[in-house]
Amino acid sequence: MKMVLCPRSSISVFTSIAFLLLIILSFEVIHADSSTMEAVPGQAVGSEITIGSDTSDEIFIQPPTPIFGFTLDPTQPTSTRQETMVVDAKGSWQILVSADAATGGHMAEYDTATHQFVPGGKKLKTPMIISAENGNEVDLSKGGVLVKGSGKKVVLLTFIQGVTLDDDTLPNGDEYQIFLTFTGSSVKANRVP
Amino acid sequence: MTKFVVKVFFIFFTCLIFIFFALLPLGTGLNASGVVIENEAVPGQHLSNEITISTDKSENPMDFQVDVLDWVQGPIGENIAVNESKQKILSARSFLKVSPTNFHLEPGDSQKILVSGDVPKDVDSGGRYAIISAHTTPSESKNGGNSLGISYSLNTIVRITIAGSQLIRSAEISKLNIDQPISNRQQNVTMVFNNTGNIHYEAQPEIILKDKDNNTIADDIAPVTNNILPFASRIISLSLKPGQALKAGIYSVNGIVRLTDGTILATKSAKLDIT
Repeated sequence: MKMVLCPRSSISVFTSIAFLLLIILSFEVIHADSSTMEAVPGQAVGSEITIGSDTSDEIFIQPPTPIFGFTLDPTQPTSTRQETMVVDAKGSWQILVSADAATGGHMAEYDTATHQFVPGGKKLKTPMIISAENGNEVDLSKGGVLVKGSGKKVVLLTFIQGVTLDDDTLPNGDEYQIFLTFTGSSVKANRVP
Repeated sequence: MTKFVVKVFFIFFTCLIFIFFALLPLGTGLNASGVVIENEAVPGQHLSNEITISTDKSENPMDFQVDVLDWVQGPIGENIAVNESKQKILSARSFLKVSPTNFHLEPGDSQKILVSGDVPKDVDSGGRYAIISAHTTPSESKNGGNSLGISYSLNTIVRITIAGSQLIRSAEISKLNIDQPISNRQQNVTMVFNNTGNIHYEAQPEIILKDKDNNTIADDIAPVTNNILPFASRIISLSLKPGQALKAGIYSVNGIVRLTDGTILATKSAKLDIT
């Protein structure tokens, strides 16, 4: 049996091959890029040494965006908001979360005119809690490890704030604020259970 | 002809989509390279290393502060940076410095941070540890309403081993607790052990359940821990699941902490009374 390629099918085949090459090329681009990142070892010069030639250890963190207009409704047991965070590293990593010293984990009265927490101002009675999907629930009055992992992970975070009728309303111009810090670090050689 | 055109366009757009996603940057956020600094150094040696911080083009401009901090570990192995440790630690903070300590990054920019220092000539044996923290200042509410400002910090861990010094790898199991409820089918055990040496190591905790005739009935080996620093403690949960329900009697639970090469660092026993 003889196979005959009609001009139309041959164009189609060539087109497919061309695009296949394009795909392979794009893989090469990615591969070349990652090689560049790995190939920057430090060197010893004279009496100096470069500590940690392990510059391939990288970490990327994309924390949640700041949350504005967080509704605090004392008629509901808790007010919640969900955000995502992305973490990526070549090995294992951990993310800790902590609140600023001024609030101690409790949303506190903030003067939007002076851009400062009101000294001796009001605070919500319940500390804020952050819960990470497949991670921990962290009471921000204590802080702690929010999530551990390895490689790239998109983590769903839930911010939980309890409000009661015992909490104070604030004068105009003031609002409840809290500043959080997400800290990423590599935990090399850690086997995640 | 129409089918042919559709096919070509299908392949073309599939490839375009693939290439778009393949070349897409990781996303907005902060990236740091060189975040594990580890090496040996002799007393008096000058050390230097670089950390690179970069942001994505779609990220907002950011101001950074860089600090050399003490490194302490929590009971589950969390690495915590503190201004000055109240716990006993072997710190490298006193002889390390960073430059610059403050900088501004426009979207898509990167900044190299030089970490350098001289190991003191009279430094004692063991390891020396620190965390380099590069952190942003929190963004403030501009839209009004109750808000959460977010800042982020990328920590670089520094582990320096004093070369030629006496390195002591030792441990002590301070607690081997038979958890409630007592069970003849699955008995949970909590172990706490401390690094009593002067150098970090990875450890592998294990518990073995033995009967009165010293026969092994069950065991549980925990995953290898991350590096535990000198003076740090680690809490480990383990579980014994014998093949069949334990008969009434006295059993022993033997806790062991090993190095990854199998060297036993510490042991401790506790009684399990099944009634």
